[in-house]
Amino acid sequence: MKILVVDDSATMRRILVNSLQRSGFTDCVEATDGRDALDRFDPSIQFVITDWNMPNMSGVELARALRQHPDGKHVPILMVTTRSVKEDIIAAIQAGVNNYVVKPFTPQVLKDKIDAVLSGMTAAA
Amino acid sequence: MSAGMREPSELLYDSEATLRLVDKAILDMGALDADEPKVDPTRSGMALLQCDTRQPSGLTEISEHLTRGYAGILGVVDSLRQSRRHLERATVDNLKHTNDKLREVSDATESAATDILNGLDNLTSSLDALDTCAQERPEPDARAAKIRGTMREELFTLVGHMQFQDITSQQLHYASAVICDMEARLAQLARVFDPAAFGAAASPEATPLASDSANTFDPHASTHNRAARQAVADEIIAESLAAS
Repeated sequence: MKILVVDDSATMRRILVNSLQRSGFTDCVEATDGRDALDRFDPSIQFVITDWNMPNMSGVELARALRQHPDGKHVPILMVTTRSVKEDIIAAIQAGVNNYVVKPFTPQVLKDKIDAVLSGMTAAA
Repeated sequence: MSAGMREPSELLYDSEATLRLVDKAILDMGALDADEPKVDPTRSGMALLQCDTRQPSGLTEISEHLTRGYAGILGVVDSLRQSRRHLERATVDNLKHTNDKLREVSDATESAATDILNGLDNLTSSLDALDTCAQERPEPDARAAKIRGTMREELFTLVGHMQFQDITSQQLHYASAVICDMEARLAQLARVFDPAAFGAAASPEATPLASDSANTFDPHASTHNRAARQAVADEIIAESLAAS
């Protein structure tokens, strides 16, 4: 499965990719913000993991944009962010985010949420 | 008309003369150079006022009042100039220095985090190499493979702990943004204290953080209560799924 990892922090992208590879997701594409992610997005991307706070285009804006994108309507989106206020989480869901991981995360939580989103997609399909 | 009362034309004449004196004194104040030290009132306004003591009686008293008032105003203006200089010094020098230091710390932690992650990757590669060696030539002690496995898990955990860098970086960005905001407010306040801007100066207004800058960090970013915060997110996601 090809995963698009979006975070403006190089450290976080590296940690995410490291965790994903340990969980067996070896095909990862990195983007530095929402706009960069949209540029790199194509039909081969099967999962998007995005941060919220980023320059140029935030993770929530990216989620909205992907839901308007012809190839992004149904792509699973996992938000990985420090933001944990209830209103923020609701706003993310309304923007089209499928699940939510609060930083700092454990690799197990990340894997569980990816599995939960994928199983939800399978159930819906 | 009583004896104590004056003809309207006389009163008008006196008032006009007084207003001219006041006008001249105000013009003198406006022409003061910002860097000029304290002005001796006897050199300008006071001298001007005193030389006109030939005016009809009553004006002398007004002149003295005006002279005292004028000297007082000059003192206030000088104090305002000093206050402005102090504010500018605090704004330009101290806050900028603090902000630069915060950015320096943020850059340093990012650089250090990259170095540490490189080191952890190298160690993981070394463990992979040891595993390859063990496959080629069986080890005399079976515990070696287990120890390598433990080391690999420890390294993986350490990589995860490096998330602190992203969180502290956001906290530093927030502190930096607050300082920038404070700097802008103090600069506005300094402008209010500028005697040259009297009449034109507005009261200090809040300067919102630059939108793009504010979008790159979470002001509430924290490493604390991770599990509790994740539980809140899980609950909301579960409610959302149940509702859909």
